[in-house]
Amino acid sequence: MDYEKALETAAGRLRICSQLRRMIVDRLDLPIDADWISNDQPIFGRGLELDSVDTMELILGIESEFEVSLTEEDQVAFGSVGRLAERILDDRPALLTLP
Amino acid sequence: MKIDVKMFEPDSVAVVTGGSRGIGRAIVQALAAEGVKVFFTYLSNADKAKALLDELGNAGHCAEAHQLDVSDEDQVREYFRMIRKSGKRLDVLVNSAGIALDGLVATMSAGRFRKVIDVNVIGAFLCSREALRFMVECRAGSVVFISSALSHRGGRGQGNYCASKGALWSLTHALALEAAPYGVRVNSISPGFVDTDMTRRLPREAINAAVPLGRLATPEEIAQAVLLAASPRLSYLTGSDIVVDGGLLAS
Repeated sequence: MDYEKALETAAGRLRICSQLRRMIVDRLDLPIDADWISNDQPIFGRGLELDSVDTMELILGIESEFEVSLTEEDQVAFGSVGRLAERILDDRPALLTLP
Repeated sequence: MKIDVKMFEPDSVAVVTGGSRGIGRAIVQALAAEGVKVFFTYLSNADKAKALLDELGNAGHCAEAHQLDVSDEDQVREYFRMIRKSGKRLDVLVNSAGIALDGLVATMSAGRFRKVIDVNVIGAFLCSREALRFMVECRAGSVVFISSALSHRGGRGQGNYCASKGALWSLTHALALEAAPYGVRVNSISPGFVDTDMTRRLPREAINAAVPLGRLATPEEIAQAVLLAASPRLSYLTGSDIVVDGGLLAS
């Protein structure tokens, strides 16, 4: 992979992660700054301590913002913001290069 | 005290699956007559869908028809994405698409049984899942399943059909509980014998004798029950199965 392509890919991933963090905070009304969430931090259990009820809100948010349809079978993707971003990009790789 | 609530708000949007014929067609017509913009689907009856569109257009109503196999998850997902992109709301989903492939259970192939479940149950589940994702975002909406009075009493040679329609009113109860916190109501309508293509070959005299009202229902009569269940007028109705059968189950 050439250097510029790699930079573009990395920038695209960071952008999606940032969008996801903001979405998590806004949709779940969390009393924290979105930037305090790291991309590797567990979303459920220890970490952000979200629960299964919040899963639906996140699934709806991802459908609405990214047009990617998830179900509870995508549990692994909810391990962290980074994994969610990877799952989203699996379905819609074009998002990497969208502004 | 007069309750002054319209049947549907201005700019309401509805999706009716299986809307090109039979009960679905009557539901499309009834919703459109109430000023609702109706998206309806058909599988193979393109001519009937076009004829219905022309009829609605000539009457000044707003409707769109799309071919859709409700049992195809990808198609259903893309269809509802199209609906979402077309506007900011989805007020009503009527799961009317359904088939019957009669036969005795002891001699029925698994494929024949499965096909009816795929269309009648899985199709209704897929459409409801996608519609709910939209409705929950809006914190409002109404889902109506078309079940059947036969699912309450059985029908010889209709094991697969009865099983599928029984699944729908059972799903209604569960889904109503899930959707209630989000302001979405879920109900089912269980028609008795209705004068459509599906009942054309059934013995009319025997049916008329069995039904206390002495006749089959018209699709329009069933559509009126669907409209009420879907309408914000019945804002406290959810988790209910409404039997519209001319007294058949009571007899």
